[in-house]
Amino acid sequence: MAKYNMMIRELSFSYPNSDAKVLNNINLEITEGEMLLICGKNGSGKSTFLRQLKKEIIPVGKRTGEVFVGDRNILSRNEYSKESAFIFQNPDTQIVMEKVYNELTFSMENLGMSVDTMRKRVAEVVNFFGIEDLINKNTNELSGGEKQLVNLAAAIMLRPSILILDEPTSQLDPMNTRHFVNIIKRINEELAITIIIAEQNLNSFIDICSRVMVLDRGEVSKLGLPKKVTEEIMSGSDEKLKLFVPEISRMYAVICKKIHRDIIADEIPFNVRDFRKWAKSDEVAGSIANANFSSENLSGKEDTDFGKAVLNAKEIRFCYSGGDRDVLFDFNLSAGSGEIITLLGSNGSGKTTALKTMLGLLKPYRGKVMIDGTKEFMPQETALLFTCDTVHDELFGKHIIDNNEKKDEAARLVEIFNLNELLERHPYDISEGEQKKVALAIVLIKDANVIFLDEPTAGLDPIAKKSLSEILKFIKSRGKTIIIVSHDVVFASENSDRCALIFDGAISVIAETKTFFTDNYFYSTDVSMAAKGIIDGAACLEDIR
Amino acid sequence: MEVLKRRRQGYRLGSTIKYSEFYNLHPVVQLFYFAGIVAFSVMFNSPIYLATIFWSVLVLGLVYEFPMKVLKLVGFYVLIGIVIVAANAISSQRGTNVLFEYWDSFVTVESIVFGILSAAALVSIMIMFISFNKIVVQDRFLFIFSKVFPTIAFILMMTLRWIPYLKRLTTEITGVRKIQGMGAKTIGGTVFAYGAESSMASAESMKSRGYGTAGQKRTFYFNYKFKKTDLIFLLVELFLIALNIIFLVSGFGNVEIYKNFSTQKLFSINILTYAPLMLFCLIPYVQFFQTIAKGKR
Repeated sequence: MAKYNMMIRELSFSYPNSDAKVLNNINLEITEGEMLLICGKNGSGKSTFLRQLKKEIIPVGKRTGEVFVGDRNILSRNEYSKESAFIFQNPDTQIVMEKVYNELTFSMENLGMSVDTMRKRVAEVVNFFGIEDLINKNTNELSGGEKQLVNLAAAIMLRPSILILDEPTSQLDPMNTRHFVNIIKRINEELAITIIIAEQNLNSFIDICSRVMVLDRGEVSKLGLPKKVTEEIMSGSDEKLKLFVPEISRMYAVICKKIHRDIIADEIPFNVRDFRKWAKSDEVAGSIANANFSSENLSGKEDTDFGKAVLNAKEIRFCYSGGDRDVLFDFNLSAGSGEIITLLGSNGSGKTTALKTMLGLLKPYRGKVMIDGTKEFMPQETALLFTCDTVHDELFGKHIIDNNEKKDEAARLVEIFNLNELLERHPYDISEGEQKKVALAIVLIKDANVIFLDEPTAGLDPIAKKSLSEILKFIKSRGKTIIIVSHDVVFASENSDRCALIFDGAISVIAETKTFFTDNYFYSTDVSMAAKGIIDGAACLEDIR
Repeated sequence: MEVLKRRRQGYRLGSTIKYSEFYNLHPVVQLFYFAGIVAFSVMFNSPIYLATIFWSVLVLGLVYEFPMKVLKLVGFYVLIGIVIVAANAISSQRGTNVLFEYWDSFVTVESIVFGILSAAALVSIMIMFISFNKIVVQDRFLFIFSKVFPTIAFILMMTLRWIPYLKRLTTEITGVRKIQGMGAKTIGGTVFAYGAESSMASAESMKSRGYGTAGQKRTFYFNYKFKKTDLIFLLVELFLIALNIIFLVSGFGNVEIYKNFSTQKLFSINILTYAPLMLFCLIPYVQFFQTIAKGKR
């Protein structure tokens, strides 16, 4: 038995007052040092499943079946289950202490360890993670990525043999995600810790995991080697599930279809390097060249005239009081009606400050922002927008609807956005993707001219992203201007008319989306990087036809 | 040029002293120093004693905080001091040396001097807190506190994390409401609801990390070790505090103002009994003098 680090036998679970089985008869063996990646749509039971694996956080409900760690049932002992550690999705809320080092020692203090042991372990772990700079900081001063690293370090203090992670990177930007993935890889390789990780898309971890498991309505629908599972998904009929597969692998599938070639599991690329190696191999290079992936074929967005500028920000300079440098320095931006502009850039480049200045929440010491008409804002934590107890009141409440015309509009939007089932629910209890839909519906009822979105895709699964991008197209068709601040280059490449890269407080590049991504070399989408010299001019998957 | 364009704020003086021995001393030693300063400011009223304390805390403030900020604060404190002097002069009718009369009242020299000395003591204490806040940072204070009340200290630490969090949340929500065009009355509700929601997640995180497992045996991690230097500093502090108290009880450093007032008596000083106070005020600068001495050699 000890061969398996964790063994799950006939595990089923349902929440109280509900007959529906959230988990249904799951059997699984996980060997020591394995990295298991779990994916599935929202509501497939990923989080519920992970919570069954750690005794302290098993949710209340009806549970049958057993979970063994080593050869012991996790429920058979009374003591704390220190053999496993759990990382939650939200980097913010799982931090409980004020100082980073208190956060790191929290679990050890709970077990009553001596100060000397704690000091030793802190030194060890901090060295391993390379977070010496953070140790004396306050936890609220850290960035999202740093917070998640601290959470990981804190979790590993008790030297667990199993690390369970519930969508740990969903709130992180691409650079921080990559750093986090690397650390996880090191923990797995150098410490031989078993890792069980649930993610919304397979992108980040598929290259390093040893097995992939797909959950569908509480059942294991697919389980196996990464390439094998990807192949099954791609050749399957579930179109929505295909969105979970990395862009590069989907690009591979699109090209295979075009050149009439079967998808072969061993060939499936997960990164740009492997894709290019495949595309340039003797077998396929010729057929790709003959397949007419010419630039005329590409759905190039024409130079549309967006008319008079609705938003005009001119030479904005901004400095926080007490700050030692200008966060924005000669920031310029203008946008026409019906235009979607995405502002990209790394943490600390001034993206959010630019957004807040344009919204009028921060006052620049020089420069002017002119907006023709009304503006609305959707913050990253969409829930902050809500003030009522039901979605219905949010949409039809007196603060939004002041005449019958708007009432009809609200009813129409409920139909279009498919919100009927949510109307009686509390806005905090619906998923993040649904919250965004409700928020955008409110914005549309209010008939704002310029809409600002802060990180609209953070925490969304690929399906929710897809429906968000459809909603954005709908809003755009009504002639509204949308300004997005985001890290998500893929989403930007698929949805914006123009993209801008903010660097050091000003826009350093602004260009029509396709030009932006095909011209950029380091800051670009995977598809654009992979397509260079093979299919010229492709910035996103839609371009490849 | 780019650098010149950007606005810069003044940097702190004396980085040599900032991370000096005193900053790195054990919190207990630091706490004794500041407690001593507060006590002496209250107990002594000799102008020379108070001036010594005033200068030492002012320089310490300038070392640990931005000079501009210190000057602003000191300006404000001095204003408060002036108000105190004026209030005392008007309200106190004691003393024999009448300076001038107005309506039915009069102002005496004694009442003004007394006002100035009380104001100086108060202003010194307020200035002291500028450096106190920078040296005895929250976790040092909590560390001392935790020795006496471990549970309360722990709860306090968790609560302290919430203050900046709720502050940030409130700012964020206020901004959102402003754009939504909704009144401020919905802000509190959202802060509460959202805060409660995230505290549930925090509770889960605590549970998963074994909170409550060891029960009463929960230990407390701290970063401070009581070293030999700390012991020496602490002994010196205690010795000087004891000397000062002895001299105070013997009647030194305290002037009777409203009785037989004379300028000569006010500024009279005995070097032997004054020395302990001066030395005590110089404790934070010990390392600084050492550095200078080493540099000269």
